[in-house]
Amino acid sequence: MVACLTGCASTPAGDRQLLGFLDQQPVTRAEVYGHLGPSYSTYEGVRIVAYRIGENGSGYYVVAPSEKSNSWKSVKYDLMLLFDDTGTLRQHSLIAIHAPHETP
Amino acid sequence: MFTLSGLSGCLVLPVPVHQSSGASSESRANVGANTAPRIVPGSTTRTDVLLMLGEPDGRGDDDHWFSYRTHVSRGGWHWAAVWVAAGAGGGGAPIDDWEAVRRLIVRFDERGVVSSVESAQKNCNGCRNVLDAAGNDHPSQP
Repeated sequence: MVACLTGCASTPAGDRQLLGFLDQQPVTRAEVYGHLGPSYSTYEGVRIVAYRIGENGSGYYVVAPSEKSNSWKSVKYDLMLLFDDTGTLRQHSLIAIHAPHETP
Repeated sequence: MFTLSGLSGCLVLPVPVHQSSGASSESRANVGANTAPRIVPGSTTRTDVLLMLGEPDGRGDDDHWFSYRTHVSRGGWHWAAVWVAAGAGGGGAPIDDWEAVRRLIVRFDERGVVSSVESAQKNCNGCRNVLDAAGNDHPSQP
């Protein structure tokens, strides 16, 4: 019973509509943080922020930055968000990390 | 017919093994041989690279370079040495390189524009420290 509860606690809840808010312009930096929490990494100051998105049976979830590792195993997408100087989202890119590639 | 009964040594045989190609589950797979041509020195920006490829696996101070690393299984037939020791079981190990690592290093100028793109690939087994993302094996450190 304890083992079962432990397993359940370590599996994040998925949401098929996790990223739906990105289609409702304008989207602000505050809204992004409100929906997705702290980013995994940032670039060019905080002009570009990255979130790692995983997927399970119930939908998509954000891979917590506290779980930083060199492995992409639990990551399905890398979400890159570009903000302008006013903190408004200008462009986003959802990159399929395990997309097929050509064979060596 | 050859048997092991009564023998005290071991038998080693090279055997062909077929494996399918594909990226390691822990590796990204979105950077391939056709990625470098899409990044144009003097034109593509750091922002473009991030939106195209995602987070780099390695980044230099002040982000003056990014590295992207892919670790894959090489498809096709490969050779393995298989041994059997009488009364002691057996095992096997690869003879040729069953895996490959590909690394892309993108350098940027002070304006955040790509100044150079370098792609390298090495065949290996295990590949833990081969073409590592931090560029520790690079002749001039990215």
